[in-house]
Amino acid sequence: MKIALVGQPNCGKSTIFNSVAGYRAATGNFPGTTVRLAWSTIRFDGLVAELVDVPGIYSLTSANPAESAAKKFLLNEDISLIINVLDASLLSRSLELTLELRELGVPVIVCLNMMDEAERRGTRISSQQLSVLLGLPVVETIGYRGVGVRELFRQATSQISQPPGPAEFIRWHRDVESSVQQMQDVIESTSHGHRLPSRFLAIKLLENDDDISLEAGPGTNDAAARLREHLEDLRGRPAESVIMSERHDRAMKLFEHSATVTRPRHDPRAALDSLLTHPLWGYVFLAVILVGFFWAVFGLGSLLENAISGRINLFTVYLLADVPKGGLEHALIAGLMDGVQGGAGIVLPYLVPFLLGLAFLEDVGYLPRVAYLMDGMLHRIGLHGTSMLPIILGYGCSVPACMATRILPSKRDRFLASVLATLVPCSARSTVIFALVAFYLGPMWALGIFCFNALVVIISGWLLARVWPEISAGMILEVPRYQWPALSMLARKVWLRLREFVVLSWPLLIAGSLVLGLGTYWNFDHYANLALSPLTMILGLPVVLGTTLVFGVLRKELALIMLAQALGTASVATVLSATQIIVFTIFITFYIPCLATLVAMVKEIGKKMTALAATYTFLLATAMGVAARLILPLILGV
Amino acid sequence: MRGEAPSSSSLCGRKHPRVLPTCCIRALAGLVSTLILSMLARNRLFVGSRWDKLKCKDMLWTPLRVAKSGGTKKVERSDEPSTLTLDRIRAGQEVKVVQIVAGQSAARQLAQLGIRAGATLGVRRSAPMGGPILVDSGGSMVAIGRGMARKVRVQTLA
Repeated sequence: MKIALVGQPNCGKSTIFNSVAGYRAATGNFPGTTVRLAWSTIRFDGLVAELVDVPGIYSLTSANPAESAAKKFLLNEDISLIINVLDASLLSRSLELTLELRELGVPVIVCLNMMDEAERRGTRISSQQLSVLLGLPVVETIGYRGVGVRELFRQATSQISQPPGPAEFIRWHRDVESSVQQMQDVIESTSHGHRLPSRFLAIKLLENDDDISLEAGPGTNDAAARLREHLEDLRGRPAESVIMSERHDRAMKLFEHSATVTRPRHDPRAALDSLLTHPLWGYVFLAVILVGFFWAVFGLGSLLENAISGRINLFTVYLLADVPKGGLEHALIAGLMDGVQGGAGIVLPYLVPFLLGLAFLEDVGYLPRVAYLMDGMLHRIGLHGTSMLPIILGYGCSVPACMATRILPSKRDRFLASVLATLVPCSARSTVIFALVAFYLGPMWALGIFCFNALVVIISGWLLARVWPEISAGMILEVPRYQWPALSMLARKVWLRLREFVVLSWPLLIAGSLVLGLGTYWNFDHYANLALSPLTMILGLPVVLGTTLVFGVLRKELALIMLAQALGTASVATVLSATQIIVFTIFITFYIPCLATLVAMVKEIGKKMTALAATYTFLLATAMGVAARLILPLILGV
Repeated sequence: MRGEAPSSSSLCGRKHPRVLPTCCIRALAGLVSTLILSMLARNRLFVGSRWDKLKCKDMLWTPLRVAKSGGTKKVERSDEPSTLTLDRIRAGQEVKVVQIVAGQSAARQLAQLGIRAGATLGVRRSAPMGGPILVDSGGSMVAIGRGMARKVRVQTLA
């Protein structure tokens, strides 16, 4: 049995999903956080069901891959119940989707979410009245506080196997209704045998929906074309827009009959927004927020690193005190401790504050404002503001960033955005920058690398946009309200992302460190380094770093840990010059995305494009590394 | 030079000259601010002048857009003199949508967010540098790219 959570983007579906299923689906305060279906088995009052979190859709007509995945799921799967989540503060608009879902012939229960927000806006909704008019049960909830969620699922269990009955109130105007009826007759006369109700099919055919008309026979499609023409003659505009305004009209009527609007309470967020989207101050604050974010992460990170790293070092020294140097045992213990130290002492101190900060920015709802502010500049390089969302998410991790490109309608935009998102330093690479460059050379250098990276990303975007010229469709992006994130939500979100590091990459890191330790012991790494020596040579790096770069493909943090291991010392600055540290960091930052990202990219943009992107990033990294190697000594004057 | 290890006293790099980053960042800041200022000037000062028609229209992208826009509907001059396109509206004004001259999918996307003929919108912000317009549509904020805003014909309300 399947229960689907369906609603318009950013109405809080995933929040409700998480409050029942545990924190499984990422949430965020921007439209399009969920780009794929999330499943979870739930038990409620002895009932076992699959709860499915469906990506947000405005209507059952899709514009991008995330939406079409949702539509395909709703039309083809055997769903027992739809929980239609509505943002109560945007009631009339949200009801348009409800009216469409109602036609699917599946039991629907309406969940009026964000009731507190509606009240603040001065909208009083009578859910009883709405329930009567719609002919559907209505439950009020405040998702992020968990209010009403229990009641929602109690209602849901009683609604299963009760498809919506006819509701007189939502019938359309007579001329349109008669066209729908005629279409319905045609469909029924051809004994379509379709799972979906004939009324739904009739409406979709009149809307000229490609997915449905592909399945219909030629006779049905001819009739549909005739009726569309008829509607166009009647109303003087395309049939699709006639149906849409009919739905809009009904939704407005429903709103008028079930809600009263009073004066909205004063909202301080409006003042904040007018400051943060100001044509001048908006950019100043953007810079301040980003630089502040950087300083906070570095400050906290280096504080933690000093505290933790020192302790672990002492422990390692204590462990190795009695072990003879140069033996197998020594290599093993040193390798193991290097891995532990790398994870706890170097990666985690920077990763945790970084993820926390990013989660905060996401949940507050600042990201769509960044998209708004940057749209003008991005247009210049041939992208639009919506592409900014995946690119910013790329600072967290490239994998969800690649998946987030699904909110972009055009294939070319998806390719560009995913390449740029992988060029941006993800949290792992930021850790490398923080722990190597900022720690040894000072934070200004690290900031310089971030700026340099941004510049390269911009130039790459400009270049790639010219290699594949196409008109960006232009941005249409809903900018959500600010929302103060609940602390527990933030913690769970950070944990969701951190878990991957702790469970997957840390063990890998320790194992890698052990392998490298043994390799050094048996001199295996010598051959690997030899094979990679052309690369290390043109980059001007010590030959021993060859294997390190290979480990970097597995996971970028590994390169950092392996660096210490390969050099045989944790204090890198004693062995490498400033130039070498920077060249190494730049190369790690830009070259081939890590394995997990490559897999995600293949899924999103295909093998060929991924190979192209990987080659491009590798060449770019080498070029940048060599350039840095040649230019930096001149500036440093060493 | 390369390969030369710094002395152990410079473990935390305090001895490395800070000249590069400070001068780099200063130069970058200067570059960015000149860029912003020049864009601002282009958009604000030259609106309505000959410069506006020559340069502001689409700046870098003009040839490309013209070449590719053959398939979509051409923007027609409306008979009513009082209608404007949304990108021309100053922040703070209320407007009524008269007509949307866009392809089906764009028109649908706009309509889903409440931007359709007859709807009242409040223009909240108009970003500099050919950036998007931020409008209040029935209580929700929508950012519309400048090119898209050009396809929305509106009438200003008092």
